[in-house]
Amino acid sequence: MCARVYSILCLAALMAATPALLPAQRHHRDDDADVSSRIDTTVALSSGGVVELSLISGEVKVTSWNRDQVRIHATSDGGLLQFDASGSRVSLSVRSDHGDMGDTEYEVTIPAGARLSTHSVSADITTDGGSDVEARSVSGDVTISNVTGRATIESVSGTLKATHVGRGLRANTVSGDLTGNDVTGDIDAQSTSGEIVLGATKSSFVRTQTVSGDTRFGGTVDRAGRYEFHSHSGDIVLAVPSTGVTFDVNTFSGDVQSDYPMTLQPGSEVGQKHMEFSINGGGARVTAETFSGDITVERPGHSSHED
Amino acid sequence: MLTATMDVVATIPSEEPPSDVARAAAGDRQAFERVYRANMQRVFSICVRMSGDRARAEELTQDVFVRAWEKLPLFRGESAFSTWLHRLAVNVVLNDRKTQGRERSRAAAGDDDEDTEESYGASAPPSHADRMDLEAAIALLPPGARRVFVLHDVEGYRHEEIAEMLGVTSGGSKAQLHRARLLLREALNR
Amino acid sequence: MIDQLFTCDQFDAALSDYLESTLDPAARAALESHAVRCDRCRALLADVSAITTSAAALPELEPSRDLWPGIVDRIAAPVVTLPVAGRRAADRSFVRPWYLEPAPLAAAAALLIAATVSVTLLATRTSPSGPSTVASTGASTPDTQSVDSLPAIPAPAPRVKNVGSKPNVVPVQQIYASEIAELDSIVRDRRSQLDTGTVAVIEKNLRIIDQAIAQSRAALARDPNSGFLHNQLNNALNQKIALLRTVALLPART
Repeated sequence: MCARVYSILCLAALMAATPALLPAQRHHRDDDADVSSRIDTTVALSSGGVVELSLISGEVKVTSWNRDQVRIHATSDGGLLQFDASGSRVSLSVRSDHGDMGDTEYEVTIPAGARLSTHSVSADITTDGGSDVEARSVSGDVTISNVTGRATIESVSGTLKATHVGRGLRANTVSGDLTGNDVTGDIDAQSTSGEIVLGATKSSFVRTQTVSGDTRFGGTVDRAGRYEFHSHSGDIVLAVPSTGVTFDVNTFSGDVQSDYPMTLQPGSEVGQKHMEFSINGGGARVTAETFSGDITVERPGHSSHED
Repeated sequence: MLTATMDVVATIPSEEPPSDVARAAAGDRQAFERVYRANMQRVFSICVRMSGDRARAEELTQDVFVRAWEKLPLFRGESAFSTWLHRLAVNVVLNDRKTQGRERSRAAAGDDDEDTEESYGASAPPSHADRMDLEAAIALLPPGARRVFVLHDVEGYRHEEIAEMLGVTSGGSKAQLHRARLLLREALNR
Repeated sequence: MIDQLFTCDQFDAALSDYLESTLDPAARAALESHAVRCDRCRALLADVSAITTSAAALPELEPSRDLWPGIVDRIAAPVVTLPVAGRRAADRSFVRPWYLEPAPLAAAAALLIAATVSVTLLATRTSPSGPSTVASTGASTPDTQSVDSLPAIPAPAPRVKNVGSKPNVVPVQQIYASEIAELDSIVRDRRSQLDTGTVAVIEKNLRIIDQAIAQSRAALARDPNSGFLHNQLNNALNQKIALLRTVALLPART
């Protein structure tokens, strides 16, 4: 699938729509020589507007400010930058007609309340701010912070990091590691072989799923909340309080360790059959299930692991 | 991947003919077993010495060959197969989380000191003889020094290659090597 | 020729290079003549030389057991081929901007989840034992056209409600199996559009998931009434579909 090609608006249209616009400087030649292009501009964006950035390789850095404007500084080694701006949407992408377009760099400042959508193939994505933020990459690392709304982050092999998210996190990786810190709102995190580490979360719904990646959770537990951790062969470590929590721990062949006394459920046997443990403390429901991964339930603050 | 059925070779040659690698890349599992038998000890030795843990090294060796099986179609013969395989082994060991975890907790317990030229001190186990053998001494080296020592003095990689593999500078590799040799000398001379 | 007199500190600094024969002749001579005169450095040189020589001569080690069975289990899952109802022609006019949330695909994914559960049950019943049996969906020839749009997903057929019921498996299975084949072939088509590192990661992780599926199936075969194991298997199947879907939606590198 090719990156979507945005139409290039003429300068006049831009000027008409956005009084605060500084002229866009875009240099390109249509011959076979190396094309390099560059955009340095600021455009207005209405509140709640959306900023869409896409590129293949290079780097994306997004920050935010209190103005209703988007400031763009973009360069591309060999690609043609495509910039499209209306009052409620700003789009930036890059294309090349002759194959390798080299690295592209975006430095973009968005209004604090804008929505952001960023996609790359191998470029690392770093964002700070935004209301709803979506960042997807194939092999690049994705690092987002200070999202006031919902965050959606994805990478196949890059590392995912989300810090300070206000209304929920959805994260998906194949082999990269995922770290979520200070996330408020529902959390849904999936990985195949990457590690998932969630700390300082304030959520009443958490669901993680991995195949072989390890999971570590250490967040607050809401008495009305539901927390589910699934893995096939990855280990699961939960640092949660025991009061106000009902645990359900299930594994086929993994080991179970717990700081809290757990009752082995009738009908389950240690050994080849699966083991089911529970503590009934009322309140929140915490479920951990693996096929062969080990499950550890520990008191918050008792850390047997680094970091 | 094709799954060709081949007759099992009655004797396992000490060095596999180049065509076994090609056959294995095409999906021939028996050919891959011959490749495995011919290379296993060397891979296992790298894993043991770089990780400092024999039990873990057995699992790592399996990981190496499973990964080799998966990546074999991508091997284009730019280097000797054994070189490719050993690099893969080094990567698997370096990326192994469990080994790293143990090394971190060993470090936290004070057995490892990256900053000063420490001697083994209390971390040296009581030896069967009054002298430790080289193998045991290598296992007790701090991780960074051990890896460089194994790669350079045992496996014969150059500092530039080691630097690239470990993500350090050539100078850093040389410094670690020197440190490793001095620590080993001290351990062996006790 | 420069006459260098080495101090012990300089000796230490030059020792590694000396052992690798990368010192220039003058420095080498200076180092050696220092060693002749200095007991401490001579002993150091002798000991370190001995260590490097011994290290290079260390024998190959043997593991405590044969590691091959563990390896072959992970690489050699016998493949059970499920019937495929023939490839449906993909609707190439369906173009979806790749960054929008694929809502219809989510429904299709749910469909596939239900589908693969019933497929699983059938496969489990018909192939009793064997710890590493992986159901595959028949090798349909990959479409050689470049895929820059997604095939249309049909409206969801009636969903299989729960695992314990006996759905009308045969016709449902054929439709669902071809859906999986469709996703599989999309993934094959995408390979050339993705960098080799990513392809390697995807293939490795597909194998990790297949292994999880195989292990769950094997356990389920021995304990078919375990709701827990059914859940485990479903989770693994979900993960496979999710991964295939992710790959299908990845942007190309050019």
